[in-house]
Amino acid sequence: MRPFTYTSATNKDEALQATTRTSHYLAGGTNLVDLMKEDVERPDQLIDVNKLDYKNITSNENGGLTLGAMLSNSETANHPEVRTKYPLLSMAMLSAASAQIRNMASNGGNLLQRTRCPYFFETSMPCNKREPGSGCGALNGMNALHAIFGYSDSCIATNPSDMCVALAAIGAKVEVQQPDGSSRMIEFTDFHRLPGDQPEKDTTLMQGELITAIHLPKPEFSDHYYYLKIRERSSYAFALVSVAAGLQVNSGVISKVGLAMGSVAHKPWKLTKAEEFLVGKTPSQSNFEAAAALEMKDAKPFEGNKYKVEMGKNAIVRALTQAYEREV
Amino acid sequence: MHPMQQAFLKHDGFQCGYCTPGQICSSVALLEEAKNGEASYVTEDFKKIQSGLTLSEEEIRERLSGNICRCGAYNNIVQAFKEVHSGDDEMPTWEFATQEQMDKAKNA
Repeated sequence: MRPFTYTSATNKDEALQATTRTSHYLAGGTNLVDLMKEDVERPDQLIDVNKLDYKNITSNENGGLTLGAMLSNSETANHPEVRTKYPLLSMAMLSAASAQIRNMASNGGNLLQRTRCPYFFETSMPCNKREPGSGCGALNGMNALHAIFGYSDSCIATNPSDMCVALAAIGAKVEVQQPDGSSRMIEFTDFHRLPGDQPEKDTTLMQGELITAIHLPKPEFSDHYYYLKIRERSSYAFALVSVAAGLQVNSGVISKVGLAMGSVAHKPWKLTKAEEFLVGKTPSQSNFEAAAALEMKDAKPFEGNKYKVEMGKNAIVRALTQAYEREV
Repeated sequence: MHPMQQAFLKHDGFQCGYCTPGQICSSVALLEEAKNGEASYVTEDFKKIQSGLTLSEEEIRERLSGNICRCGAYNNIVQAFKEVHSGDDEMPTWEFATQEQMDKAKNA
C-alpha cells in the first residue's frame, strides 16, 4: 500500500473543501481499501465521510423514499419502509456480498463499486480502466465474466453491483453535492456510463462531487417483484447474470414494468425494449419469452461468455415469472 | 462459556479451528438478527416478516455464508447454531438422494 493522508470530515463543507485532484471519499471502505492494498487505487488523500449526517430514510415529494448515502446496505435493506414498499431493492441488496460486508458498505459507496474484472485487479496485466492506454487484457483473454452489451474495444468489464440493478429497474435518482456548494440530481440510467474510449470513468460524477442521497419514485412494484441472481455458488459470490423484475398487474393485464439486468454491461442494463413490449400484455410465459428475446438479440458475446446469452434469456423469463406468480 | 461456544464444542463445529472465532461471533449476531426479524435473500416474503424468526436450515446457511470454513465443518456449525437458536440438537443424518429428489433439484 502506498502512503496517503487521511482526514475525517465532520460536515459536507469540510469534505467538499478537502478534495483534491487525486483524493477519494472513504465511507465503508469495503471496495476502496481492498483496491488500495492491491495497488489498483492510488489516492494521495482519503477524506473520511462516515461522520456526515446522511443516515436517514425520509419520505420525498414524489410519494417515495429518500435513502441517505451514508446509511449501510444492511440498515437500508432491512428498514421496514424499504422492505414493504421496495422489496425488490431489499432483495437485491441482501443478495450481495456477505452480512459483514453489507454492515460496512454504504449506499453511496455501493454505487461506486469498481468492476471485478481480473485484469483490473492484476497490476501486471494490461487494463485501460486501471491504466488508460495500456490495452484490454480481457478482449482476447479470459472473458467468461465480461460484458455482452455496450462494450468498446478499450473495455469489456461489467458493473458488479446488485443494488444498482434494482435501482435501475425502479427508476431512482442520485443527489450529488458539488464542490462549489450547489447540488444536482442525476437520473439513475445516466449515473453509470458505457466505457467508450474512457473506461477509467465508471460514472458521470465529477472529481470532488459527493453523493448525498438516492431518491426513489413512488413505490410501484411492492406486490410483484423478484431479484434473480445466478452465480457459481449460491451465496457470497458475484453474479454471472442477474435480473431485477418488478410488475404491476391490473385485471390480468400488465400496466407497469421495471426490468434491468446485471453483470452483462459496464452499467446496470435497463431493459427498456422489454418493458415497453410487456405493457398492455398479459403476464404469460410466451410474452415473457418474447420480451427476453427482444433484448437478447442485441447481445454480442465473446469466446468465453457465450453462455450469458442463453442464461440471460432464461433469467429474464424466470425473474418475470417469479415476480408475477408471487402471492399477493 | 457462551452457549454458542458450548454448542460448537458439543457438535464439533470445527476442525482446525482457524475460522471458529469468526463463526461463533457471526452465529451470536445471527441470534439477534432472527430475534429482530431481519430478512435475508432467501426469505420468502419481505413484506410479511416478523420478529422472533425461527430460521430454516436454508436461512441459516445463507445468513452465515460470510464465514468460510476451509475444513468444511458447515454441517456441524449449522447444527450448533440450531441447538442454541431453536433447541434442535438432533445430529444430522444422511442418505442417498432418490431419483425423484434428483429430478426436483435439476428442475429447480
